Amino acid sequence: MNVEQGIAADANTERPIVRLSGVIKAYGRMNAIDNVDLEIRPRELFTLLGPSGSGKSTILRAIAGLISVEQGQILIAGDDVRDVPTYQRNIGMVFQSLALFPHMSVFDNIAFPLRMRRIGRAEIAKKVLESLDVVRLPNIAKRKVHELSGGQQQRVALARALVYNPSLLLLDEPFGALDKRLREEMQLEIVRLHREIDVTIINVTHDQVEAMILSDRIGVMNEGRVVQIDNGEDLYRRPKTRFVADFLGRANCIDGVFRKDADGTQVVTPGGAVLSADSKFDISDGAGCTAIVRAEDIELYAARPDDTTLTGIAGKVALRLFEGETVYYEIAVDGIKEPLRVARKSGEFAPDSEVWLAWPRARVWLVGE
Amino acid sequence: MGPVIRIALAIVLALVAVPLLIVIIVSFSGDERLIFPPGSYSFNPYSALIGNDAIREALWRSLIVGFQVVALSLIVGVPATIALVRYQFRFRFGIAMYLILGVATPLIASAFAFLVLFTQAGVLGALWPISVGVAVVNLPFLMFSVASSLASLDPRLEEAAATLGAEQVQTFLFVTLPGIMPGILSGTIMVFVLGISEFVISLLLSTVSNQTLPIAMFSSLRGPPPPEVAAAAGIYVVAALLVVITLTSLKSTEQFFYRAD
Amino acid sequence: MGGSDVAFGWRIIDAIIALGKKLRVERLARVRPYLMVAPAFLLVSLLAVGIFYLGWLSIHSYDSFLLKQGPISTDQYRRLVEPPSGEFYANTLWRTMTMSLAVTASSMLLGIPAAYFIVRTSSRAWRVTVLVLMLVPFLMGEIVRTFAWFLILANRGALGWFLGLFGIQDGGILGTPLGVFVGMLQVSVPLVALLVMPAVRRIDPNLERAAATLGASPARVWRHIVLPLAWPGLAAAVIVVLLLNIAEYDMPAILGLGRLPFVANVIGDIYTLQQNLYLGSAFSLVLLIISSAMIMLPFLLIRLYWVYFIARKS
Repeated sequence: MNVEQGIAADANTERPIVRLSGVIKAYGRMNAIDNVDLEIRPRELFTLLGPSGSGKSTILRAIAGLISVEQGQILIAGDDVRDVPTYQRNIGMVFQSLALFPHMSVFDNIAFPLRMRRIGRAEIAKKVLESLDVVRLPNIAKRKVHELSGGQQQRVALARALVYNPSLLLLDEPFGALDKRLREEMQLEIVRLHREIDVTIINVTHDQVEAMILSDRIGVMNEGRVVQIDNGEDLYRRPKTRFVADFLGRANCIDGVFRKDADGTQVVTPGGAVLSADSKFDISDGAGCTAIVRAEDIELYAARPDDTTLTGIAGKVALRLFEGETVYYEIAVDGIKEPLRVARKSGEFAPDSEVWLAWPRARVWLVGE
Repeated sequence: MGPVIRIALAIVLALVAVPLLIVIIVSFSGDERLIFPPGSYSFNPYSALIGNDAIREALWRSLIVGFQVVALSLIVGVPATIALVRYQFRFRFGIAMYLILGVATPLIASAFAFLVLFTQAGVLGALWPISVGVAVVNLPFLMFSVASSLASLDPRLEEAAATLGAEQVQTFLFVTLPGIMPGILSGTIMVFVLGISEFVISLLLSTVSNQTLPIAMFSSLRGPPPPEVAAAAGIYVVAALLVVITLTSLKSTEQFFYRAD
Repeated sequence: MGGSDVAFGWRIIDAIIALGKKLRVERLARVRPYLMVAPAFLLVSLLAVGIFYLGWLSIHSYDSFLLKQGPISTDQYRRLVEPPSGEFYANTLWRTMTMSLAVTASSMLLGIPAAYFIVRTSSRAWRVTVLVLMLVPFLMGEIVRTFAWFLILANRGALGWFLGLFGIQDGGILGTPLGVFVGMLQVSVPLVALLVMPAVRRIDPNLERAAATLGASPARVWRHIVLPLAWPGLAAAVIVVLLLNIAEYDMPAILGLGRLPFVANVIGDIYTLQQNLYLGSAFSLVLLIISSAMIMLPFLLIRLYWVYFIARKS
C-alpha cells in the first residue's frame, strides 16, 4: 500500500502525531481521564496499558472523537480536533466487538469507507482486494460476515480500518474475546502489519504480555492518570511506582527502610533482615522505600550461598505449583506480610522446607514512597 | 413437566385452538343457516362474500384503514422510537409514558374520546378519523417492536461507521435502518392486522356509509348470521395465522421465548 | 474525490447532506430528539384532547329533548349514581368488575402453566405450535373471536353437537354469564401467558433443578422458587389482563345476548341508542378513573410498603 501523508519516514524528529495536553474527562464526580499529557510519535506502535476503569479506552475514544472532553486539548497531526467530528478525522478504529456490519458482505464492509469517500467502483474493487491481501485473506470477499471464523472476522475488521490509508489506527482491546492461540496469532499479525505499512498504531489493552510484545512504547495508566511511559523493557526493569511493578509480571514488593552504607545501599525490613542493592538510587537515608524483586530473578538454595553479588533472605516454602513452563513457589518470610513469589524453571523444594532465597543485587530495584 | 401443567396446557390449547378450527370449518359450510357440524360443504360463503356488495365494500374500507394506520404509525413511530432509545434528553421517560397512553386507556374510553373530538370537528363519516384513532391506540405495538430491534443493535456499529467516514444521514441509511428493519417489518405487520380487525373505535366512529368489515359483521350478528360472515371470519383467522407463523419464525423472536442452557 | 465511476445514488445522498449543512442541521442537534418525538406526541395528543373533552362534556347537563347542551352541572354523574338509573349503572359496573376478576383469576391459573411450558420445553415443535395457537386470537379481531364462540355456544352450535355425542342436552349457555366467561378466557389466557413468559424465562432453570435435588416436590418448587421469583411479572399480568377485561365489549354483547351488558356496552348504547354524548362521557370518565387507579395501585402499594415497613425500622 502506498501512503500519501504528510508524515516523514523518520519517526523521531518531527512533531507528535497525537498529542493530549491537560485532558480531563469527567463522568459525574469522577474523572475518567485525570489531567493527562500524552504524545504519540509518528509511526510508533504505542500501547495504553492498565486495569479496567483506568481510563485507557476513554482516551482512545476521545482521540477518535466518540466522546468529548471537558478540559484540555487534543491535537492530531498538529490540528486541534475539538470541533472536528469523528467522521472527518480520517482515523481507523477496531473495536472489541469488531462492529462489522452484519447485513453486508465482507466486500461491502471493506468498501464502506471508500464509498463514503466517493471513490469510483473500479478503484474500490482494486483497493478492497489489495487490503484483503494485506491481511492475508484473499478469497473471502463475497462471504457474509457471520460465515467467517473469529480470526477471519478480526482480519476483516483490520482490513476495513486500513483500506483508506488512515494516518492513525486505534485498537480498542480487539483481542480480548479471543482464545489464547488466536490472540497470539493476531498480536504477531499487528506487529507484521506495522512493519509493512506506514501507520501509527495506538493499542489499548489490560494484557501486559500483549503490551510488551506489540509496543515500541507503553503508557501505563491507573485511575485516569498516566503513571509511566517507557518501552517494555524499561518499564519492566525500572518501574517508577509500585503499581507499575505489580502490574507487569510477578513482582515482589518488599517494604523497608533505606540505608546508605560504604558498600552500596541497603533496605532493612521490619523483620530486621538486610537486603543489599546497588548504589544508584536517589532516596534519602532513613526514608521508607520498597524493594522490587522479580519472581524469576530469585533462586532457591538449601543454605545461604557464598556469593557477594547476591543478596537474600531466609524463608519457608508455603506453596509449590507446577505450571508447565515454570514452577511457582510462595515462600513465607518472617517480618514480611505477603509471601514472596518465586518462579523457577525447575525446583524440587517441597512445602514446609526451609530455604534461602537469593537474587543478584543488580536486580533489585528500589522505589521511594 | 408435571401432570398439572400438562392438564392446564391441554385446556388452554383446546380453549384457543377449537374456536379457530370451528370458524374455518363453518366458513366452508354449504348450509343457509350456520350450524355445526355443517350439513354440507361448499365455497358458497366465500362467493357470497364476494357477491355481497355491502360486505365487499366494508372489506375494502378495512384494508384502507389498515394501510392508513400503518403509514401513520411508521411516520410518527419510527423517529420517536429511535429518539427515545438512542438519545438522552429531559422528559424522556415522561414522553415515553405519554406515548403509551393509547394502550393504557380502556379502549371504549379512548373510542369515546375520539368520538366527541371528531364530532366536534365535524368529520364523522370519513374513514380517516377511524385510522387516526386506531393508529393512536396501536402505536405502542409498533414502537415496542422497533425498540427491541434497536436495543439489540450494537451501538458500536454506528460508532464504527463514524470512524469510517459516515456522517449522520449515511450512518442512519446504511447501518441503523437495515439493523432495525426486522423490528419495523414485524411491527408493521402487527399494526396492519390489528388495524383491519379493529372493532370498538370503528363502532363508535362509523356511520352507515363508512362501516368497516368488523362492524358489518357485527350488525349481521343480531340475527342468525349469514354465510358471508363466516367466510369473512375465516379470512381473518387465516390472515392471523399466517402473520403469527411469520413472526414466530423470525430468529429474533425465538430467543425471546426460549432459554437454552 | 468522486469521479464518473461513482454510482448515481450517491449524488442524491450528497445533495441531502449538502442541504443539511446549509440548513445548519447540526446546530439542531440538541433539539433533535424533541423534533423526532414531536409528530408522535401530537398524534397521541389527539387522544389527550379527546379525554379532556370527555371531562368537559361530563360536567354539563344535556337537554335530550331540545338536543342542546345545558349549563355546568353534576347532572350526568348524578344520573350515574342516584336511583333509579343509578342502580342500573351500579349493577353494570359490579357485573363488569366481578366477571373480569373471575376471568382474570382463571386465566392466571391456566396461563401460568402454559407460559412455563413454552419457556421450559426443549421441543421446538411444541413450543412453536403452542405459541402460534396462542398468538392468533390477538390478531383475529374481537368480532371474529366472538363469532367463533357464538358458533360454539349457540343453538345447534359446536358445543351442543359435542354434548349431544354423549347424550347430554345443551342447556343453552348463550345468554348466561358462563358463556361470556368462557369466551373471554380465549384472549385472557394467552395474554397472561405472554406476559408471564419473560418473568419465567428470567428464572435460572438450575435453581429448580437444585431444589429438586435437595428434595423438593414439584409443588414445593413452584411455591418456593418459581412463584416468588416470577411474582413481579405475575402482578403485572394481573393488572394488564384485568384492565383489558373491564373494557370488554363484544363478548358480553353477543354471547350475553344483551342481557349482561358490561360498562363498555352501556357506554356504546348511550351513544347509539340515546345519542347522549354527555352521559356517555361521564361513564367513560368513570371507567378511565377506575383503570388509572388500578395502574397506580401497585406503585402506591410499594410506596406504602417502603414507608411503613422499611423506613420505620431506621
